[in-house]
Order: sequence, then C-alpha cells, then structure tokens
Amino acid sequence: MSEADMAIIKPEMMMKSYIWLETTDGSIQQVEQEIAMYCPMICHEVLQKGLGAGSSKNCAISLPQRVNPAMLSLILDYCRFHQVPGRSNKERKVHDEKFIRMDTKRLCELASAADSLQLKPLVDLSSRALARIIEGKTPEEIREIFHLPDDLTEEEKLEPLKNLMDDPRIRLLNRLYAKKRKELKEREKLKGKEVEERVDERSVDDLLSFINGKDHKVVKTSKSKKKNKKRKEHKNKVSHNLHSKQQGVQIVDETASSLGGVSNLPSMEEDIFSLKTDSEDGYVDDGMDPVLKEMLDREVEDFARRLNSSWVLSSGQERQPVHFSINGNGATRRLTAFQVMLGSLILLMVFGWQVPEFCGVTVKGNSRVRISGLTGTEGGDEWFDLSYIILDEASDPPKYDNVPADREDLVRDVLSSTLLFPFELQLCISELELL
Amino acid sequence: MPKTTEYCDEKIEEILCEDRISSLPDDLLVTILLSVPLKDAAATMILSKRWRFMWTMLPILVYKESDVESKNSVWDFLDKSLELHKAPLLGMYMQLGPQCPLDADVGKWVAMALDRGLALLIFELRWSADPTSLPMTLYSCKSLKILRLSHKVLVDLPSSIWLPSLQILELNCVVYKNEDSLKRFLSSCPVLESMTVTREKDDNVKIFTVKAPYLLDLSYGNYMSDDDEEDTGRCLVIDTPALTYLDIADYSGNSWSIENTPCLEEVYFNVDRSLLGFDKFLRSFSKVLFLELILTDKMIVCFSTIEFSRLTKCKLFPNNSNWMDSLVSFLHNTPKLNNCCQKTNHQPPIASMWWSQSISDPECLSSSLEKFELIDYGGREEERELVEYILTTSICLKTATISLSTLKLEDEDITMKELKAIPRVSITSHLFFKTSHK
Repeated sequence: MSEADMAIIKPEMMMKSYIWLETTDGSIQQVEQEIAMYCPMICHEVLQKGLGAGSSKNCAISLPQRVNPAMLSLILDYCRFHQVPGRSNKERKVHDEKFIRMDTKRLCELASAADSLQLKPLVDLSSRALARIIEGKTPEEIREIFHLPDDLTEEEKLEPLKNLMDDPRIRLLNRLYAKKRKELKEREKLKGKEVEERVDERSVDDLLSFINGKDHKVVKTSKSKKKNKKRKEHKNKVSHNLHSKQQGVQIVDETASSLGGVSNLPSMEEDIFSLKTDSEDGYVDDGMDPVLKEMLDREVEDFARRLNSSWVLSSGQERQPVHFSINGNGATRRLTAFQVMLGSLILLMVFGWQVPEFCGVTVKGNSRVRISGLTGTEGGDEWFDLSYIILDEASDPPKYDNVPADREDLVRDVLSSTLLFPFELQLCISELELL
Repeated sequence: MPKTTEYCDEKIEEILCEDRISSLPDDLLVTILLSVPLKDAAATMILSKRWRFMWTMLPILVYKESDVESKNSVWDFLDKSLELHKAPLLGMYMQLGPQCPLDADVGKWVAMALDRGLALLIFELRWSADPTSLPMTLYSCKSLKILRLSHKVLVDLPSSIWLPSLQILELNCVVYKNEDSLKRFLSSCPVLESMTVTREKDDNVKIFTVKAPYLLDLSYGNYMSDDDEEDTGRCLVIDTPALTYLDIADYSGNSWSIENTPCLEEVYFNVDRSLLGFDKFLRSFSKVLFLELILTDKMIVCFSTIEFSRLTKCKLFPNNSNWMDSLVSFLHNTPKLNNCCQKTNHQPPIASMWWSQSISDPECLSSSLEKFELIDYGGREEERELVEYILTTSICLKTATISLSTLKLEDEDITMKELKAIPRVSITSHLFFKTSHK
C-alpha cells in the first residue's frame, strides 16, 4: 500500500469507531462499533465495563466459547445488513432467506453462537431453519442428518411412540403400557431427575405472534386490516379472529427476559408486516404446513413399519415379522403400519421386582404364542393357538373362539387381565412357531 | 504406535463433534421444537437420550385437527401426549373438530394446563354433543392473559370469578348459562382490553351487555338471522368509556344502545339491516379518526348531517341509491379527510346536485385529501364526473386509485385512457388502476 492510500484510509477510519473482539481461540478482530453493538451481549459488555472495553487490542471484548471466528464473521454480516435502518421488511426477509441457506452443521453452530451473543432475531431465524429440517422426517432420517447417537433402549423407543399414535387400535395396547410407563417414570424420579422450572414470562404480543405464525386462520394483528368476506358475504358464518393492537397492547412483562435484548422480535414484525400488505385473503401463507402434514403422516407410518422390522432383527432372536391379519384367516388385506405395530406389540406388564422381558412380535393369525409365568397359578409354559384369537378392528377386548374348552378359561383370564389389569402378569413370548 | 492412537483419538473426536445439535443448550432445542408441528416434536422422543424429554418442556402446545375429513381426532394424540408433558405451560391451543369422541374428557386437560401457569388458552370444540362447560378453575386462573373459547362451550360461571390478568377475550359462538353470566364474566376481568364476540345461534342472552371500564377494543359479530320482522327483544348494549376501536358486524336486525364513547378512534360498522336508534350510534362516531361504513338508505339523512371533525380516513360502502350525493355532502363535513375510499353501487348513481351548484368546494379537497380510491368503477357518466371532480379539485392529492370493474366495463384500456386524460390540479399526483385479472 502506498502512502497515498494510507492517507486516504486513515480519515475514513477516524470517522467510525471500532471495537475489538476476541474469540476463545485467541484471534482478535476489529469491527465497526455500530455493527458489533447490534449484538446484545456485546452491547452489555461495553456498557457494563465502560467505554474502555473493546477499544483496543489489549482490552478486547472476549466472546463466549460458542462463537468461533467463522460464526463471528457470519453473525457480523447479519448485523451489518440489519443494523441499517432504512431497509424495508421485505428486503430483510429476502436477505434472511438467502442468509440461512447453509449446511446443517453450520446452522447448528450459528444458532449456538447467536444464542450466546443473545442475538434473538438470528436465534429465531436459525431455529426455524432447523425446525424445518426436523419437520416431516422420520427419526432415522433426523438421526442421520444430525448425527445423533442411537442410544435409547428398545423399550424406551417403542413405548412413547405407540402412545402417541392416533389409532384406536392402539388403545388396546396402551392400557397395558400405562403401568409400565408409570414404573419408568417413578424410576426416573428416584434418580433425582428434575424437570427445570421454566417460568416463562412472555408478553401477550409474543404469544399471539407465535400462535399467529402457527395458525393460518388465526390471522389478525393489524386492527386496520379488515376482511372483505364479512361485508360481502354477510350470510357466511365468519368467526372473528383474535387480534392484538398494532399500537401495542403494551403489557410487556417486566421479566420478559426471554425476549432478549433486541426489542423488535422479527417474527412478530414479520407477522404484522405480512398482514399489513393488502393481500386479499389476509392469510400468513407459508405454504408448508398442509403438505408437510401429509408427509408426516406417511412418514410416521413408514417409520413404524421400519421400526418394527429393524427392531425385530436387532433383538437377536429369530423372529420373523409377520403381519397380523385382522381377519384372522390370513386373508389378503392391506395392512397399515398401525396394524403391524399392533400385531407387534403383544404387551408385557412389569412386575415391580422383575426386569421386563420385552418382546414385541408380530404374530400371524395361525401362529402360536407362548405365554408363561402367570402369576398366582402354576404358570408353566402353555401354548395357545392364536388363530383362535380374532381382534375386532373397532372393539376391544379381543374376542376369541374355537379355543379348546379346557383352555378357554385360561385364555380368557389371560387376555382379559392383560387388558384390565386386575392383577399383574408377566407375559413372555419367547417362541413363535409358524403353523 | 503413538501416531495411530492419535489418529484414532482424532477420529473419535471428529465423530463426537459431528453431533452439533445435541450440544446446543436445552433452551435452544426447545426453541427449535417450538417451530416444529407438535406431532413431529413429540416424535423426537425416540431420537436419542438427549431428545427424550425435550418436547415435554415445550411451553406452548398446539393441537389441531389435521384433517377435517378423517375419522381420527387429534384428541387421541392429545390425550396421550399430555400425560407425558411435564413442564409449565405457557400456551395451550386445542382445536377439536367434529370427529372428536364424545367421551373425551376435555376438561381434564384444560384444568391441568391451567394449573401449570397457563397464559394463553385457545379452546375450540366442535363435537356433535351439547356444549360443555369447562373446569371452574378457568374462571379463577391468575395467570391467564388470553382466552378464546369457540363453539361447543357453555359459559357457566362459579360463584367466585376473578381473572386478574385477562387482557384479551374472545367468545366465538359460545352459549351462556344465562344473561348474568356475561355480565359477571366481564366484571371480573379488571384489565380486559380487547374483546371479540361472535354469535350465531341463540345463546341464552337477550340483552347482550358489554360493560367494561377499560376495554379498548371491541369486535362484535352477530350472524343470527332473525328473519321474522317481529321484535325479539334482543339488543346490544355497549357501555365502554375507554373504547377506541369498535368493529360491528350485525346482521340480526337487533336494536342497539351505545353509551358514551369519547375516545373512539376507529370504527367499522357493517350493519346491513334496518336499525332502530342508529342516529345516536352514528352521532357517537362523530369524533373518530377512521370510519368504515355500510351506508344504507335510512342512514343517509342522518349521516349527511354529522360533522366528522377529526376524520382522516374513511371507507364507504353504499347500500343506497344516491351514494354520490352522500359522498359529496360527506366531503363537506370532513374537513380533515386525508384518505377516502368509496365503493360504487350496482345502481346507477344519481348525479349529485352539489358540485353543479356548489358554491365552494369541500374544505378537505383543498387542504387535506391526499389519497382517493374508487372501487368498482363502471364507466358510467356520473362516475366519471365524480372522478373528474375529485381530480380537478383536490389540490393536495398524491394518489388516486381506480379499481376497474371488469363486469361493467367493456374496454378497460379506453377507460384508462379516458381517465388519464383528465387534467389534474395536483401535478404531482399519481393515477393508479386496479383490474381484477392479474
């Protein structure tokens, strides 16, 4: 650089004030003050420690551990764009959408770094991007994308998922699992696990904007925005929408610490802004929800099917996943994943003092199930031919017929008790024979 | 040897570092899950140990029927997942559609949510059974700030009610135990600022009284069609001295009463049927800043005489035949009008006598009107005259927008040329056209 250049640069540099920032790896950067101050954490540091902080290389502001130089430069780019006041909301949105396109790993780092710098708009942006990645994917896919360790036990995996699936047939199984769940919970409590008490004081606007963001139809933040439908089709039953004043129902809680330092929540702004524009239908349309929902349903079914098969293979015992035919006679009938799940979960109850032997197995109509360890009776191993047991689709408890007379009572007891839990049983299905 | 172990260590480290997301703090993971639809979020339970109970810490839960057609209700998912959820709840959104099972114990989960410090409750129930009442703890919930009840809900209050934090209340087509219920409800919400009510069917309240001393916003929609002309004795009574925003859509033909509203600023008035006592109503709007109105024949006389001294923005939807006349007289009565939007009628307007005879132009045209919009321009001579009038007399005009009605106009281009040719007194003004295609 020639002397002339230096001479030109210097006056410019004198105009802006700079701050020195140091990341944990020791590298120090010089950044324009107004850009750096966009980050609440840096802002607080400067204000707290007085004007001297960050003013030179020696007293550089040290940044939290989660901010590495690469992330810092990304974040500063973000700040550089947004701290300019003159930009329209649309411009900002377009910029953000481009900005957030990066691989998952960097996205996580970015979210982490933004979180430690308390830059809430960027935290929201990256969180939402990560949420979009998670949404609609099977757990296996998610594990692969994020490289999550597959460290849950099989029982832990199977248990909650069944409970959450909305299929009436699962109710049949769920009653059996209810006790087991309680057991596990109690064990967790004993281990002293505490669920954090998170008292989250958020403002009314924040809550509404969240709900508005999630619900297409609950749209209304701008008071001055009126729906035409009310006027013209006054015969239609239109329900009013929840709204919040644009001029701010200023009930911002004192302890709204979760809102972070930057006062304008861009998520809120976005919602309000998108409603300001005079779109005819006034919906906040991200176009993703219904499609992804469909995908999700399919994925959940897929996953259930896959889980069932992979689980069975990994259980180390030779079991073949065979589909439970509802008709009981092996009739060709298209099975949903739920039926498979149903079949695969012949339930086990937990004794207080015994480790459950958990075997989820799919049983073909003509197969036998071995039930052993009945409490209170001789127990022993009995074979029951499950072809006699027909599960009626819509009802429970299961019906059965053609059970050998001398076994009828026993079977009835076993099955009815597994559903109603008058006493605890341990059912161990250890061998399966295809007839 | 050292080399290989080093290499191994590095590799292990690399693999460990690969899982970036799990190293994020709990708060952040919950923030991420908040943006994921609840079923997906709940499914993260089986990802790994770290994620096992992450979703149970979600502070806001949203249960919505995913598919109106399907026989399965979100209720099943709701019922099971809420057993697992442990953390304090900030917001609960429950939308149960017609497929919700009739034996669903909805009250149980509402009560649980209220117990956990709930601030926002949105509850919609559309099952085929009768309206159900909600747990009594709802009416003494200290933390509740936003409440919305929709459809099959019976507002049945306990003897002691107190909702000290409730700011926003929305009652959509609910049924009230009796007339008293509503009054008592409102009087136990000391900080209520915004209220929205819709009524569709008979809800046991004849005299619907909205009495709240600090209420700022009120939206009232009455879609009950009382087709018979006889007076059902129903009426709406508004007694809200602090009200600044009022939105009324009333197609029931009920009568009204509105008490003093000195602070009223924005009014949306969509009342199509003949009303008794609207004079008083209209006069109570004389100090507003914004007015949106359906103007019926019966209102015209009264309307034309009201002086809207502070009005800056208005939108008029005429349901009468001489809207042009009323517009011009209106312009005379609105000295500060800045933004005027007028929709034409299907009936051919009777040309106003005002501008042909007028001594002076309306004050607003010479001093304040900056935006003018005409919707459904049909190209009729009278309409064109009106546009011409506005364009040639509004000195401060910045934009004029004409929405062309494709139904009425044969050739839009010619119309646009015609209108563009009108000499505008405000040189800097822009003339915009809106057409319905594109």
